[in-house]
Amino acid sequence: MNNKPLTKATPTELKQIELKQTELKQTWLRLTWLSLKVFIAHYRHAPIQAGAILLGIALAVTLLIGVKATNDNAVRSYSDATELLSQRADVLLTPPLAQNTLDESVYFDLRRAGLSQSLAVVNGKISGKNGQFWQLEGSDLIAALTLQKSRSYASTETHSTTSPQMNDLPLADLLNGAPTVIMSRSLADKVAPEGKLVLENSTLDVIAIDDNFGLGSAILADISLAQQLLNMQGRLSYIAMFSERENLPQLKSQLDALGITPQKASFSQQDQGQALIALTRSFHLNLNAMSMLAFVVGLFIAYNGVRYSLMKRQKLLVQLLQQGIERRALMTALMFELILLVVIGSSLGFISGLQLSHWLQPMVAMTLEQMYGAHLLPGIWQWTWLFEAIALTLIAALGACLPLYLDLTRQALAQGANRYQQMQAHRKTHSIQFALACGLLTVAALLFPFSQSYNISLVLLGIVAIAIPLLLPQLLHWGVSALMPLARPGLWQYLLAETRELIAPLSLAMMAILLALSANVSMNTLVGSFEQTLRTWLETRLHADLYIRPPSQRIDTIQTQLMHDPRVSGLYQQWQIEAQLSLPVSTDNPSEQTIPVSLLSRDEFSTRHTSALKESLPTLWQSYFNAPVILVSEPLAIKYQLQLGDSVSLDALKQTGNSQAIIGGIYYDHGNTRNEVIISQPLWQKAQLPLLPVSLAASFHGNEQGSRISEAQLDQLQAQLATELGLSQAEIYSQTKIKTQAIAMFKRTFSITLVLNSLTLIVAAIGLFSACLMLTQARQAPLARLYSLGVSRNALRAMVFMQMLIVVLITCLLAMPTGALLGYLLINKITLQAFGWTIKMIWDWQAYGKAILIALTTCTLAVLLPLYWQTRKPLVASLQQETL
Amino acid sequence: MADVAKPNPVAKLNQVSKGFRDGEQYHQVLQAVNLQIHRGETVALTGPSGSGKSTLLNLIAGFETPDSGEILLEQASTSTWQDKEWSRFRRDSLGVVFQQFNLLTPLNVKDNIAFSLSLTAQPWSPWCDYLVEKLGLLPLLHRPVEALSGGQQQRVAIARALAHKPTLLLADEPTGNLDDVSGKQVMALLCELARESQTSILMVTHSEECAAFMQKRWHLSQGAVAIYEQ
Amino acid sequence: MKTFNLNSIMWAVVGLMLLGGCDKTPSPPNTQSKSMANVVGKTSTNQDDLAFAPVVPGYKFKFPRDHLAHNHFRQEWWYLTANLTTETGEQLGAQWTQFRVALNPTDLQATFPHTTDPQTATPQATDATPKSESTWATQQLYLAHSALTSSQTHLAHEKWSRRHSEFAEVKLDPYQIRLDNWRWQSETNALFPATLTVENPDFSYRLQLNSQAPLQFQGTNGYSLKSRDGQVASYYYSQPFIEISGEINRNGKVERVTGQGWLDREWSSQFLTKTQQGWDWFALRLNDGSTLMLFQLRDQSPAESAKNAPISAFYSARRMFADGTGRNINSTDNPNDIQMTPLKWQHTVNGDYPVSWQVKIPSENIDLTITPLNPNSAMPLSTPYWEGPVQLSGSHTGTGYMELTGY
Repeated sequence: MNNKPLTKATPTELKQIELKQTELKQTWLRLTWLSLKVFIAHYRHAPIQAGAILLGIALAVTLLIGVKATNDNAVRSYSDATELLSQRADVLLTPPLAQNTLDESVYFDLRRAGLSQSLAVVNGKISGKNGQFWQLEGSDLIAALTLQKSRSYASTETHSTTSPQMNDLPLADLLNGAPTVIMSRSLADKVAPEGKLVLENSTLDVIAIDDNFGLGSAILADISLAQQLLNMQGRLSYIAMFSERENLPQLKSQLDALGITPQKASFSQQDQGQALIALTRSFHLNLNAMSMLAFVVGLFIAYNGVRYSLMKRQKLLVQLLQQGIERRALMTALMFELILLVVIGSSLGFISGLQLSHWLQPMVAMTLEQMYGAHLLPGIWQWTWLFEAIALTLIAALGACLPLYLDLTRQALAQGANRYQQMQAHRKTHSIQFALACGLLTVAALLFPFSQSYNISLVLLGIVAIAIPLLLPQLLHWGVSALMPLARPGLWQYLLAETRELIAPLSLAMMAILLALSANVSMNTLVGSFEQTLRTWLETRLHADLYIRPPSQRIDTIQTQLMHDPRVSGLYQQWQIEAQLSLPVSTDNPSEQTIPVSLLSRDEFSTRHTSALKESLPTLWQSYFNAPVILVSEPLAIKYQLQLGDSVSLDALKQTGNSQAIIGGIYYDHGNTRNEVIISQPLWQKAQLPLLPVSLAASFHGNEQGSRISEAQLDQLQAQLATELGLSQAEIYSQTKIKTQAIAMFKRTFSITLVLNSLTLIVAAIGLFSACLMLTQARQAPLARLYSLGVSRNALRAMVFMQMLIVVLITCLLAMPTGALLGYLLINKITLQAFGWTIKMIWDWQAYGKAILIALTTCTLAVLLPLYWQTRKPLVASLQQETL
Repeated sequence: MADVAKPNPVAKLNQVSKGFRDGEQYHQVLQAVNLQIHRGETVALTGPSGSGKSTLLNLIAGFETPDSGEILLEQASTSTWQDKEWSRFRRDSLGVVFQQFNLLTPLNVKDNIAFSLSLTAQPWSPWCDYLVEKLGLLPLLHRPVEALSGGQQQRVAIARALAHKPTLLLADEPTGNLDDVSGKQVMALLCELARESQTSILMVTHSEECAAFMQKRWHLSQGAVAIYEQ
Repeated sequence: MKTFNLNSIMWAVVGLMLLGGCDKTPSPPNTQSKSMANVVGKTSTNQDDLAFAPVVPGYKFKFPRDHLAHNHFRQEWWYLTANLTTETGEQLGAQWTQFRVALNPTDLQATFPHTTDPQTATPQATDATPKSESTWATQQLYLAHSALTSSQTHLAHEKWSRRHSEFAEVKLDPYQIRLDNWRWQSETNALFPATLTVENPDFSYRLQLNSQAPLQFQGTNGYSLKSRDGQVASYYYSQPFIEISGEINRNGKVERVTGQGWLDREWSSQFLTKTQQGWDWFALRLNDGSTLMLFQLRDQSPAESAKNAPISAFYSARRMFADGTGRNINSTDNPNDIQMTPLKWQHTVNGDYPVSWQVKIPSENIDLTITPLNPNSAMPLSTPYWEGPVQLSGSHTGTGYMELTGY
């Protein structure tokens, strides 16, 4: 009815509104700033609170960055690692079939044809003092330098490796075959502190270069020296060629035109480290998982710290609200405070994380080198990591703490009446969690038997790992409830009843401890079982007393000598070449797959008695020695899903007229990541493969007839033989020594995992500590009540301790089956599928006990310290003044 | 008016002084006071706020120690008492009722009441049944204490305080969190039950109506206590 | 003549060694020489170290012996420049150089026993390296450059290798100089006739080289001074009269060419003096059938050169004739006879070079204006320098080649 037109605001009114808005905003900013100042003053009075939050964040970020740095560096190394001073080759020309070396003339042909982007390389194992073997690599250093320079000009990649300062190398001497070698600085410091090394009875000068150039534990020399030392005059191990990917077909036809056919050299394209990345994925995933766990626990510590400091500031916050500071400003100030703490904590964590990575580096490098043959470059770090860490931590911290802040500012004084409802809510959450956990476990249990792929198994393992901690709160409830009937009325009854109430606030910390403990127990089980399996397997495999690996030109004479030696009771040989195994086309295998394998053959006795067969055709021994039947190693069989009776083809058998063979047996091959195939001697000879074995083994007579030689006698004999046969200590090994070294290497390989495990457990323990600390604060009132009712201080302390102990013990008890479950999955699924090694699971009580002991000790400390502090103060004041 | 010395006071304060520092100021809460409570006596402790009434209760309960003077509880001097002795005293001979109820939340009503008993290994007695009935807690026995109303909780607190028939009951504003009607009910019950169990009551209160329920009144002001009969 | 390519070699080696050296500006000789000394290794730390064979007057040249490498001397080169014309009349310039650098005074694979000459007896180097039996062991490093210049484009490439008899070597029967697939192959053990083959991804050439003229010996019978005080000198002979025919291949397009070429052979053991910064060198073919080799060794920094400050330099020149005669024109006897003035500067990827010159030699009635076929003939290799074909005008016409270093 009223047709009044909409009045527009007058300019002055607009101005006023604007002013008001700015004023409000300014007010808001001012209030925020004021609040912040108050908070800072609060922290100044109680720096431990800020310290706790920072500690949590720093711990979280430390492990996160530490592992991330390690993993990133490793992956970078795989793609960037250099072919010893030049970039990773695109193509390798390797020795032709059934040969170990390439003729030099191939390289000369390449150079003369103008294919200057190629590098001649010789490599091999060379013995040093004390029976050590070194990997010696030699190449034309000038060509290597030229290639690297031209590649770095052409390369657009941002992370090409840096180049060595050649000014420091005596190029003149190196090129001239002078007895000088190069190794990475860390290795040189270890083995040649005076700058000299003895190899193959020659003393060599050692030059140390930066670890950056990826030499790892290899020794580099110029080809003029290397060929002499390795006794490979006129031969090469391979030729590395560099060419643009698009030009590769052209290159191949060029090689054909030059007459470099497969008779002279095998052509293989390289994958820029992809294979290595795939192979090591499991290892890195393991590290990542642990770092995530530690990250979560660290954040939990920070979360607790925030909760605690909020609790302590409750009155303060209420007063601020009453003073007239808006909720909005308060929230902003709290947010800002959190952001500041996250940034500081993350930065601290970043630095210590890099330090951690640096410390872990040698262990990781050892593992990777032993298991995968990968050389690790020393770490570089990037600022982006810090920003990523801050971002991640910030998001997680805000996510976790936002509810806290909202709760706080929404209700001035929570408490009392609501607590009961809170409890009910918690109970509900716990039962939901339990149900969820059961669901997840069921899913995993159903899927696991069907999972053949290692990746799927890993996902399932992750599901189990998530499910395990979710079981805990409900189980704690049930556990405590089960104990309740046992309790006498009075303090015991109260103890248990209150323990039930404690489960909710402690659940997070205990879940972390459970997970860390389970992981710990499972890893220890894996390592322990593996070690046991390895020992047993070595027992079977090693039957001879001495193992001899002479230089190839001397093997014939030594073999003859030993054959005529009266002390020898049995002489065994092993032959070896590289070969290609082709799998037939099938439904799983649409295109023919060719796998490079190490082809072995042994004497009959060794084959029959030491092959450590996993499974075999019943007719194996009847047909093995006179038909094309082969044995394949377990890793090979598992990786390519080979079964007994499968027909495959070996290029090495071409000369027999039929390269097809049947798989007659699968044998254990623990610790070996390479693919291996064994054929019988008759077949080997029929295929016209090299006649000379690569290594020999001998058993000796003991004093009495038919007995074996004793340990002491063997030592003497070994020394004698070494002199008689002109062998260095490195070329003749006793069985015991092999076993010892194998186990030692094995232990070193797993050291990194065990260290990380322990670190994670420690972080979890710190989490528990912070939870207990907070809890003790919150329990002032109940403790005061009991005190007022006549419970003595000592009784109070004992009670609190008992409560903690019950919770921790139940958790530790649960860690046993969960740890066993994880261990079982790790052993029988993950390791088997990833590496192809069958390991018998052996439960190690000692390891379990150790882990529990650590957990108990840390928990005890975590409880006692705050408790002691708490109960020394006057208790009842809190009843009368504080409303908690 | 000097208190006629009756034999065997439950609690006796001899020249007890207590002060505390509050920032810059030093408050002398009790200045050489001499007080006694005898068996069955009920005393109201009044005074301006901040005068230290709670402090007096604390001293008797052993939560604080006097600066000088001596406190005798059941004829025993408490100057040498350690935590052990105090705890025993509290278990055996003391009952406390607070403004904040302060019940043991994990336990239900019955267990709360029985708690003090169980501390001294005493079983549930007919006296407890009587208390429960009198305080109207029978239907609530197995309920969790947090589900009760304020008045109900206070009644549980009283039951708990009296269950072990202590010689002395200390109450710190027991009706502070209750409305008038509930408050009066609670006070009546308390006095009746205390009489039946021969428990002395020392009650801090601001409320005149509550103070009226007590036989005596101690008025604490500036360190000195004035004793009145009612 | 190609003097002081020792400097370019030095820089080349240094450039290789200081990997990461996309540095286009040459460092002053002092640091270079130190670097060179470092490359050489512990055996020689002083540029004045006379562990390498010294260059002394009175050397008797013998062929084909002296066509081969003189391994006891520090550096050496075989240097061909050619002015070519295609069938369509397009002017081109082609360059091929193979340098040799000795890393160590004692070459155990020496093919040239120099110690028989008492005047050049080499003092024993303090090198304890035992004799190595490996065919790969060597003390010699070979470096080769090849370039093709037209008025529009200038393409250049570089190759490195250690000396190896199979793919990087200078040898007889027949005489050949090769580094991978760049090869000078003579028909006999004489220099000519020969075929020069150079292959690169973007260009290649195959040239037939022939000469009837006798060799020319620079300086005093092949002893060529590089400084006024006689501190630095080299052994130097040339063949400025070479007939060339052959074909070139540019990005797949094959063309026949003819033209003339110039070969310089030089070896020595010493570097520039401390004050010498670089040189400007010319190989000019005058239309009267004579050839002129001319260079100046500058004693000042490029910045000073740019400001056209008065140049303090050492000049040397030789007028050569097809019958084998020739006469030297040098600054010792006739200080102001040779006047060289840069006329125009060109900014290239390597820096600024004076690409156009005025050359006056009154005693020879020579007054030439030299202009480059392609002003952008800067060599983008591990050693930066400028080299390209030039045209002459003025008192004579003709073609030639110019090399500018030290800018």
